[in-house]
Amino acid sequence: MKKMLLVISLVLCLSAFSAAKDTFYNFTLDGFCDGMSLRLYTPGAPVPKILVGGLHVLGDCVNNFNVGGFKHGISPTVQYPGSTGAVLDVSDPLLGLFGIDASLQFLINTNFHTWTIYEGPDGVGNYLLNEGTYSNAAKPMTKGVGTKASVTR
Amino acid sequence: MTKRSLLLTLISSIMVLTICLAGQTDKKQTPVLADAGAANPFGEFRSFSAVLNGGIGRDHDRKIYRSGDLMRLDFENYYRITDLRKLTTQSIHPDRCALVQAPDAGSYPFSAYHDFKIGRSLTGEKETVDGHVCQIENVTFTSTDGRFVTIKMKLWKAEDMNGFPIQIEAEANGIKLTPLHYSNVSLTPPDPKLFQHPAKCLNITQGSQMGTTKKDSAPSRPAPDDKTAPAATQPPQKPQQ
Repeated sequence: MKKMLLVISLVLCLSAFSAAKDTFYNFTLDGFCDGMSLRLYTPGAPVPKILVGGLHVLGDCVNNFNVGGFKHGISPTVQYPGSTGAVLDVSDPLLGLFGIDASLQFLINTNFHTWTIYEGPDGVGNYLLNEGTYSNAAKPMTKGVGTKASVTR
Repeated sequence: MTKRSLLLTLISSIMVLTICLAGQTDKKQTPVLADAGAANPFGEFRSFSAVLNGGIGRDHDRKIYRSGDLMRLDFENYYRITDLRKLTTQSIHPDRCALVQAPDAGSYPFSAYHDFKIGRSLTGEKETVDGHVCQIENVTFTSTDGRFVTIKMKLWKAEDMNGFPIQIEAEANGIKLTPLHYSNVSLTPPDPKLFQHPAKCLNITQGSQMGTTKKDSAPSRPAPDDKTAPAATQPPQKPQQ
């Protein structure tokens, strides 16, 4: 009986994973020209729905940049003030494509509609670059109301 | 093996694991300011205000203030205070505050390389920057943790400002960083009020957030910066080679 229950639970879990639909996020970073178009998904069982792919739309106010990452829990002490819980943690190649040898990491909290950006510029540290809120946007996304990109402070 | 011995083994394993993890946590070290080699050139200026352009945050006319271990950076409608020793940042908004466990990009290089070995040498050369006659000093920071990280800097130290480095070029392991430029430098201690917490943020140093933000509420929006030229003409600048 116990074994049967275990098997049924396992099957139900796997079914839940495989049935998980993709979630899409399209938003502009408030006060800036750029935004994000992200897809949270699972490639299928047994991988949970924690993978993120998408675009940093108009990352330099002109071009789009491919981003990718994971959804995971993280301390509120590295998030935008007041935000708690899981984030979409995506890396962005923008700086590298402009010849700047530095990492660029977005932490996006979809519950609180907030974001923070960290930059690792020197092989030693990771610095708070920028932070803010976001507003949902229609798709296709249009340029935000800001006149500068979020990575330019 | 009886159930009892299995249970005992399990409990013992958990205890050992807990002790191991606690030991790892204890290994975290507090940065020590320039305790190896020469003194940190940025430790000499513990009270000043200036306008920062460039740097790793590619700041544009960022007003900064330093008082002791604290550095304040002004943004459009809020400010941040980085603790240069603890490497944390207080982010103080009109309606909320928080302690972020990372230094602000604009605090570089004052917040960096505290536990590195430092080598300094004046080149004997002089150049004029923004009307200030500057001595040029080369500084090398070398990691002491076995990671072989070397940071080389060239400082333009203004003679009429006690040698404040108004221009800095830096490279990390041979890769150039965006140069820094400080203008409107004042060595007069900034107003202490600039570093005080608003009443609603009194326990910010304990890591708690104060304010009115609620889950799924509409957060306040930063005002667009109309003074800045469109970023389409201002992409992140590659450091000059």
